[in-house]
This record gives sequence, C-alpha cells and structure tokens, in this order.
Amino acid sequence: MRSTETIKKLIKNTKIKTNPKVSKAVLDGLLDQMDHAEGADINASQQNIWSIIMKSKIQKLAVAAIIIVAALVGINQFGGSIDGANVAWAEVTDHIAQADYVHVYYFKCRDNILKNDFEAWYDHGRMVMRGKEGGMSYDDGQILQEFDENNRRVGKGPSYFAGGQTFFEVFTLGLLSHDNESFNEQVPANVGVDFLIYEFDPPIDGDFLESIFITVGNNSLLPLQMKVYHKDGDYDLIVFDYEAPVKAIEFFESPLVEMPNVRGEVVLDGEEAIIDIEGTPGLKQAVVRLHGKHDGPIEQLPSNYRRMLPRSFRKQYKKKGGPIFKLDVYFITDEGYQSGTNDLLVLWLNEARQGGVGSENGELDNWPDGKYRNIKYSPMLKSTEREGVYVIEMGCWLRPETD
Amino acid sequence: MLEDKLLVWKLRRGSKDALRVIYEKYRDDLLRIAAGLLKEKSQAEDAVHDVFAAFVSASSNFTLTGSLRGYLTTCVANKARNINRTKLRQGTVSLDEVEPVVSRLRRPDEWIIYDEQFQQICDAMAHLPYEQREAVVLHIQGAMKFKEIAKLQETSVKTVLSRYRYGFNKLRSLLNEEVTK
Repeated sequence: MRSTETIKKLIKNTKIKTNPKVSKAVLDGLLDQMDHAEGADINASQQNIWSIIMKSKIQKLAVAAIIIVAALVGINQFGGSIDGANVAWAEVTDHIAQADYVHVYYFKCRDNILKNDFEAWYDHGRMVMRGKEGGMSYDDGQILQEFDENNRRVGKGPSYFAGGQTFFEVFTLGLLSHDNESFNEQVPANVGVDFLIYEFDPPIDGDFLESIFITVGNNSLLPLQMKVYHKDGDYDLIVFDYEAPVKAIEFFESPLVEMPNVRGEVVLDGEEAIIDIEGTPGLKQAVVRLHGKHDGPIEQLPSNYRRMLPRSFRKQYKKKGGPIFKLDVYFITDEGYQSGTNDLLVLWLNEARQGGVGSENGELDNWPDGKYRNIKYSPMLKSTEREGVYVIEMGCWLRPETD
Repeated sequence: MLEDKLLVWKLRRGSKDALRVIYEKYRDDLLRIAAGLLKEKSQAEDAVHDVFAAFVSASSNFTLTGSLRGYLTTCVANKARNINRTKLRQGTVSLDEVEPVVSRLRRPDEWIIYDEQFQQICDAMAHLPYEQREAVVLHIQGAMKFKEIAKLQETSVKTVLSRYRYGFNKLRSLLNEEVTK
C-alpha cells in the first residue's frame, strides 16, 4: 500500500520518453511554419500587420514611459547649414498633421534579408493597405474592412482614425503625437543641408531595440524615413513618400462585400445552431455555439479571455468596451466529415473577424479521405429584439492549398 | 520567468532559436500533461502539436503576461477539453460512462514512449471522470494552483478541491490495486 505522498511523487516525477525522430520532425515542422508565416498570409491580415509591424515595436515607444535623451551631437556630418539644429520635434509633427497624401513602404530586414512587408496609402482621412500576399484593408475614416487576396471580406471594425488621430499618430501609435512633451522637445542629433536626423533612445522595456532614427526633410519638415535598429542586427525601415502619384479615388473604395452564405439564429449559452451553407461546394453545414458574453471592466475579463487574447485585443476592449461574445464554430463537409473548432473566437456585435479550421484533429490535410481542406470563415454577430437571441452571419469558403 | 519573457520577445521577432529552446524546455511536460488528460496517446500527441503550432502562429503578436509554462499548460488543457467535447458531440454515451480504451499498439510515428510506470498511471487516470482527471493532472503534473484550475474550469475553488480529492483518492486506490495484484 503506497501513501498519498508516494502516489503524488509517482505522478509528479514519472518522466516520459519521447521518440527523438518524431520530436525533431515536429520541431522542423514548427520551424517551417515560422518560415511560412514570415512570408505569407495577410489573412491574419491587416490586424496582424499592425500588431506585427507596429505594435510589437513602436507601440513600446508610445505606451511605455519613454525617456528620450535629447542628444544633440553637434556633428554637422553633411557639411551644411546648422539652421535646423534647433528644430524641435513638435515642429515636425505640426507639418505631419498637414500632410494630406502619403505613400508608405514598410520593409523588414531579418537575418540580412530585406523584404517588403506592406504598403499603405493615406489620402485625406482614408487609408488603403496592401500586404505582400495581396490582402487589402480599406479604412474610410469610419469603418475598417479587411479583404483577403480573393476579395473576400475577412474583417470589419471601427476605423483606425475613429478617435480623431492623424495618419502618423495611428501609424506610429503615439510616437509622433502632439501630446507627448518629451518628444516635442527633441531636437535633431544630426543636421545636414537637406536632412535633419532625430535619434530616439529605445524605451526602458524595449530592451531588444538598439535605436530609432527618423530622417526629416530640412525644408519640408516631414519625416522621410524611419529606421528601427534591433540589437541583434535586424532592422525595420519605413519610407514615407509625399510625392508619389496620387491614386484615383476608386482605389480607396472597398470591393463589394459578398452576401453571407451562412445565416441563422443562435441563442446565448444555448444549444448549438446547425445552419445550412448555401452555394459553397464542399461545405454543407456550419454548427455555431454562442457560449459566453462579457460586458464588464477589462479587469474582470475572464481569465481564459485574458490568457488567450493578444494584448492588442485587450487594448481594443479597454477602448471600446463590451459586450464581447465567445463563439465556437465547426463545419460539416459535403462528405459528412466534421472540422475542428476554433479555440477562442471573440467578437463584438456587428464586427467581423476571420477564423480558420482544418480537420477535427487540427490538420489541414488529415481528413478521413486524406484530402486537403482549409476552411476559412468570417462571422459577424447581430443583435435581435429578443433577449439572448442573435443573428449570426458568416462568409465561409474552402481555401485552396498553396505551395 | 525572465528567461521565458526573453524567449518570447525573441520569438516574436522571428528567432528560430527561441522556438527551439521553448520547444525543448516544455515539450515533455506538456506531453505528460496531455497524456494524463486524454485517453488516447495519439490525441495527446496531437494536442501538444496543435498547441505548439498555434503558439507559433500567434507568436508575432503574443504577449506573455504570466508564466509561459502556465500559458502552454492552459492551452493544452483547453485543447484536451476541446477534443473530449468533440468526442462527446459524436457519440451518445458520455466518455465517463464507458470503459477506457487505451491502445497499446506501437506506431512507428509515435511521439511519446510510455514506460510501464507511466502507462500504469495513464491507465488509472483514464478511469477518472474528466473534470476530476483535469484537476489532478493540472495540479500535480501541471503545478497549477487550485485557484487557476477553478478559473479554467469556470467553477469555484471548493468544487475543484472536491474534484481533486475524489479523483486523487480513486487514483490512489487504483494504483495501489495494481501494486497488490
């Protein structure tokens, strides 16, 4: 007879062995997945563009208690005038606010390979972004809509400019804000005939960053280039072009949104709703369950939300408030196979987000018949006059396998 | 903890070495937890794989607020619950009502290699109702506090304690039976 403690120790300390070949194969797969993610998929789309490109880096500058050491080096390395030496950053931001049209190129250099990551066009309060895989986002100043490379809408939400921010405030998440006094007082580190170069120290919690340089035109006082150096040698390069050919007005118009091919009612914390899918070969039914609603302060967000949701989402929640809903969706194919379900899909009313599932065991190519099926869907929840009853509208489709 | 934060920072910026280290560091523990939670070995392997895959997918905008170990353990627990729930949807009989079926066939692609002792523990675990099993596994193997498990199970700490106590007692008696056989 073994004691409680012995049993506990037995359970706690029993080690498992793993098959090294399989372990290596799994790791290789994950590393490949990283490569793939690096060069793919804007479907995770503009939401990700902001998070990956901006929020992870620049946001640190904006949200942290940033200590900027205004180091006027005094080296006139371009051998020209030093008239710009006292141009405070506040003057630059004044000029930025007057820029009506900007074309932005965003490049990332990783392991000495420089890649174009996305482009953005801003025109009088509207913005279009294009990712390297062809996905687009359209922000008309009120609504932001995201589309995949096949012009299917995969996301819908409030505009980045909804709070009255300028293009640059949005783009740098506060770095160029008028409200930031420590920035406003910053003067150039280097002054040339044509350029002023502002150097910003990394924030305290941005320990992966080395430094940030912003090159500003001496006459225009507009930022032309921003370079964010990382300690390991990687860097991000953002180029601002104010003289690019102006895009036609149609360019800023979003594509027509297809009618949802799934529409039905779902009851909060009720039974699963089984909804027939119309006009999508390969998919027969969507099974939807609405199993959570939160409308309280961010601090009371249930732990499973807090753990699973990225910081960007929580920031959004803090700003917009609730209610938010948790949704489970899985699909039945024409052959009767059941897909996997998403782990956590959280929605605001009347906003769309994108999800994706594979087979029941999570793989895209491990369905009972061995075929590849990647199911993408974009659900939107709408309220009804009946309490606890909501309309779910969803576009869903099978995404073909890509190389 | 600090090391994990650093690893996550690096991973967010595309460091493959960071992924390698995280994978090596937590793989075995997560597999052990998944094996305790799920009755079929292949499902446990899939669950851990899926958690790592989802972690990689989300790594670019992932922010670590607590411990990485806790986060990954929670993901595995959620995945395991999802798998169990899916199984329940398919069948008409509760998993807790049927006798456990544990395949002892060795597959060439199997990831976890069970020794006799671990097999014994998994067999015993498989006899516990899922909520009890979850409480035992997450507390003992996952080193999670009862409060954390209560949040995960969306119930009170008292209920979790009760589930743990019942589960552990049953487990002890099953394992002791094995010894006396």
